[in-house]
Amino acid sequence: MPQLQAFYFVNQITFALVALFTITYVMSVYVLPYFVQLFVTRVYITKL
Amino acid sequence: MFGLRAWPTPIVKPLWPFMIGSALTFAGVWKLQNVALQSEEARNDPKNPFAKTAKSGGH
Repeated sequence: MPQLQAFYFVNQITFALVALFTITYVMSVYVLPYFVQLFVTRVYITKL
Repeated sequence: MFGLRAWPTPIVKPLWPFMIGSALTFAGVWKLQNVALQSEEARNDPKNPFAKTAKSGGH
């Protein structure tokens, strides 16, 4: 099983960490605040 | 006005322990790979991509 052979460990960890931090960054800077703004807007609209 | 703008979310302030842990893990895996590649089994493995280029896998 290639994932268990030692030649590729650094490649695997690099890819995993890059993907992890990229996803975390994009979600926390772009995606999740969009929904927060949407829900807050709905609260303000219903309380006018 | 609606769409994906960038928000000033703090990244380093909450995540710095995980960044340090990732760096330590990466260093550990690097060392582990170096140790594992020195073993007899890996040295003689024909699938080893780090084999000396003197005997390149002739296509």
